[in-house]
Amino acid sequence: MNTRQRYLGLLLVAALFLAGCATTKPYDYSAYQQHPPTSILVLPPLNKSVAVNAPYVYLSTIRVPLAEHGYYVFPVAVVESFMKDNGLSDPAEMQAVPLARLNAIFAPMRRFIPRSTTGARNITWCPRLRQSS
Amino acid sequence: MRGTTRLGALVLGAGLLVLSGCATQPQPLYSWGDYQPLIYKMYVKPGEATPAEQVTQLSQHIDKARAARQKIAPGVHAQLGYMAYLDGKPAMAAEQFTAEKQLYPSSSEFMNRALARLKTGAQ
Repeated sequence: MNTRQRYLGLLLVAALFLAGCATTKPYDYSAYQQHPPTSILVLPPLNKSVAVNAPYVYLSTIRVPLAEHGYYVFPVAVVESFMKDNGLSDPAEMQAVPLARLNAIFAPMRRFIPRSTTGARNITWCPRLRQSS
Repeated sequence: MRGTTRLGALVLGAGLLVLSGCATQPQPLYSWGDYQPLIYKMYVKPGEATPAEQVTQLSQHIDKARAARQKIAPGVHAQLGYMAYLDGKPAMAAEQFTAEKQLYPSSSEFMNRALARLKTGAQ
């Protein structure tokens, strides 16, 4: 390997290292911090994939990580049947229900101060409450 | 030659110690048992997770978790209640919805609605 190739190789390695230094804009969690939620309602998702069962697979698996973060997660099967009984059969229709109506049905707003506080720098995409209500 | 192997062993040992710290994961909050695979089966292969079978499996899971003093995951009681209702046991369903309400007060609004619908459905 001649010196030119070696230099090119070093340059490539250096570029790879420096690419890791690119900083992204941190997510703004102020709205979350002002109104920390305690429960999460997961609505059936819109299926934009080719797998027919994709929404159900998603529904059945998303509960575990959300609940393990400390939130109460509404039982997906019961929610789905409730929606269907009320005439909403399509995920698109279910997602079109106004938020105020969902609020009235599923939970009165209640403040909850998480006991395990996390500093702003520790908050990732889903802050861990680790104290289920 | 001997010095380098000893140094190598030290570095390896230190590295393992450091990396073992990365392996610790927090204890799961709840015991999930068969709950998640059951829900998956219910949607993907409904024949293998009929309401009657879900009632037995979920009841067993709840008993086991209670015996081991583990916390029941959110939605398990509600799921069992719903399956009991589909299986033709409204009394058990009402019991389970109440249990879910007591365990997780966040669900009380929704569980009250479910209980009300159970009452009107039974009559």
